[in-house]
Amino acid sequence: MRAVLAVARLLLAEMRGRRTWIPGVLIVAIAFFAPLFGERTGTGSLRERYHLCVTYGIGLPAFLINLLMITVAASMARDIENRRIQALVTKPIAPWQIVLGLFGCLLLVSGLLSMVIFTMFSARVAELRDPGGRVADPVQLSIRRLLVPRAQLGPEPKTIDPGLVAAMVESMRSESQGVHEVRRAELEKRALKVLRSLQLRPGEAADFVFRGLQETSAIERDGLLLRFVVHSLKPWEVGRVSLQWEAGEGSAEMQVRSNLVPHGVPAEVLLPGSVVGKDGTLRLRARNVEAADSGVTVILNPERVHALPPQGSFFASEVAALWLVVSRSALLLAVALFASSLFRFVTAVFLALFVYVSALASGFLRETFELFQGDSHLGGLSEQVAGWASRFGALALSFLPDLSRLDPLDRLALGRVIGPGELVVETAWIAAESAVLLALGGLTLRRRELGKP
Amino acid sequence: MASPVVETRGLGKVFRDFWGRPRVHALKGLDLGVEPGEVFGLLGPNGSGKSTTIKILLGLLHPTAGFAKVLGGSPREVKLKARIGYLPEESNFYPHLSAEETLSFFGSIFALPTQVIRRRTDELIHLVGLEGARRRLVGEFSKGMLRRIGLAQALINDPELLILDEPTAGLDPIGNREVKNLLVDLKRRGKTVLISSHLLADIEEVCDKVAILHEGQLRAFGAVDRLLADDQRTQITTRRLSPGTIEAVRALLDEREGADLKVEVGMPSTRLEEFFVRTVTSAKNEPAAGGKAQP
Repeated sequence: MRAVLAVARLLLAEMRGRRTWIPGVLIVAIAFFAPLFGERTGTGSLRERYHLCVTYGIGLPAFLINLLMITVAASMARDIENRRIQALVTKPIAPWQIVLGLFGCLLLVSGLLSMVIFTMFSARVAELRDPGGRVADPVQLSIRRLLVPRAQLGPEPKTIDPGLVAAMVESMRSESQGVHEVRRAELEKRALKVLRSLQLRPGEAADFVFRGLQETSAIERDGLLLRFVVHSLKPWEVGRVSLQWEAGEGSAEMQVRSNLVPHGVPAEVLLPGSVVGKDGTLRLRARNVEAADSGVTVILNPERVHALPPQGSFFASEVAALWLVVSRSALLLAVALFASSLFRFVTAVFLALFVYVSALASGFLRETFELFQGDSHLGGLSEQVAGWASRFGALALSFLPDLSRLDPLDRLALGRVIGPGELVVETAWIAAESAVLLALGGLTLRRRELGKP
Repeated sequence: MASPVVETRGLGKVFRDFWGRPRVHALKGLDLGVEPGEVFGLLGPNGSGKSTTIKILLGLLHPTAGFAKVLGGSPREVKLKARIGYLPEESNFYPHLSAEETLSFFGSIFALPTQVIRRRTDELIHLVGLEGARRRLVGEFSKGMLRRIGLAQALINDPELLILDEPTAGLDPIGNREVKNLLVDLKRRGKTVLISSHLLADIEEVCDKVAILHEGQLRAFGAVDRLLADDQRTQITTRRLSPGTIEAVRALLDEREGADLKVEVGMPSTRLEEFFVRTVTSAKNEPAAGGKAQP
């Protein structure tokens, strides 16, 4: 343990000597000033100012902190290159202790910087408050609410008859022929998605029941955010669909029309809190409001309809977001340390940045690769190459960390809760991935010949 | 007989290129043994395999043939390294630490108690003559000072086995002498020292045994006295003799050994290093001259 601490202290001294605190101070300055510049250009509404605080007060500085930490972590590769590490590894210290010492020190610095930024963010949000309660902005109000657990979705998953899948594939093949060439595997995937989902012809409706939405003043006052993804049966013909949500019973009933939702992209609708019943149950009806003669069938996957209760205590949400931001830094540090145990400095930095960016865009990339794997517009060589590249990309993504599962800053910006369950699952994923990367880094360092001329 | 502190058998090392093709055969079947308490010199021209051997003994390189044992175990055993001190060939230490911090850092790696680290740091800084620079950053050190701090960090754990790669490179003659004196002192204390160098005078003066490597192969191995002994010649040294006495000795030699015996008579010269050290030491001991130096 003393050796691990000694390595951590050494890195701190090196960071001090290399004046790494200068970019640190710059990042804090950016966190302080950047939202101010944004405020000048916007409309100045409370919601917009809050978004600016999240984006430029936390998002941008957190990104810069990660860049800084990746560069410092990769300095291990530089120590290997200039053989400085030889004096260290010939002492009674195991390579995993070196990796752990560097990781611990960098995580501490990253955590402290993040805490400073989040504290500044809190101060700014406190500034946005309206003590008189005259501003009926959901974000501002949500700051005061108590934590509310996430809702449970009603519908059960369906079992699918394989014969039905085959029939649907044939039907889609014959319909799409001549318009757009689609691979059979992709058609099967699409058919399964359709069959698992609810299909709504024009004018048709489907019911959803959410239970466990506890009756709280938070929902009543801040409303309930509904997030969903829709598809159309013939995406090659229609890019956008119209859907209407009818919520509540009796006097609490209301209708929200989420017009022209692009298919495949998550859409959001804010429902008033009054639609939630006294027993915490929300009854929703989704109606396809496309023109009857359009023939557009809307597909709604029940697994991708989420009712997000409002954020409870602002402090709890902020701490959860901070926790996730620091956890993500930990994962990136593990990536950078692993890369620098294997490659030269420049390669290690590049690789870690590549992983960072691809992890942030993981969800988008996965969808894009799926699209390219399935569809072929021209059938030429370039299409085939794109298909192979997408297959390779999808395979590579399955090995890379995924930071798109849960975006803490998005939740914070929306004023929506990060549930304890989500927090635990995300932390467990990140911890497992980081542990594997750190162990691999230690192992690589142990097996590598560090005395090569 | 005690088991050797360092032992290699059939040690070979081939460096390969990116495609796995053999590029350099750095070592070819090296057999060595260093006994406890010995000061052992590894000699050879540049590229002869000295540093490769040392790096294998420290676990920094992996042999491609044969095996190496250090203190009875594998060179890659972490625990074993607590008994070894190493001075690398290149003095690349952490430039943002002071001399004191550097020693304290390495002491912590050895998990030495804080008080011991403090005491050893003071002793070693004094030993290597860096009292005036104990708080200066290592990044500001000259090459010679870096060798000194390197030597100090190699001794922080009071090692049983000290491995020194070119210990006197970059040192001035005084520093050179101090290192040699230190090695003699370590030998007296029963430490085993393995030195790699291409400065023959250094090795000759302090080593008990030497091994000479060339192109990765062992060319000579044994005790220095035995390797350097010239049993074909006799040397007599005495105080300065008068010309008459010299003539009388020549006549006696002619009479006893025959007239064809080649006899060289002259004044033995002091070695330059010895002369330099003597001059500088006496200059240091002289009282400081009064007044300013005249231009």
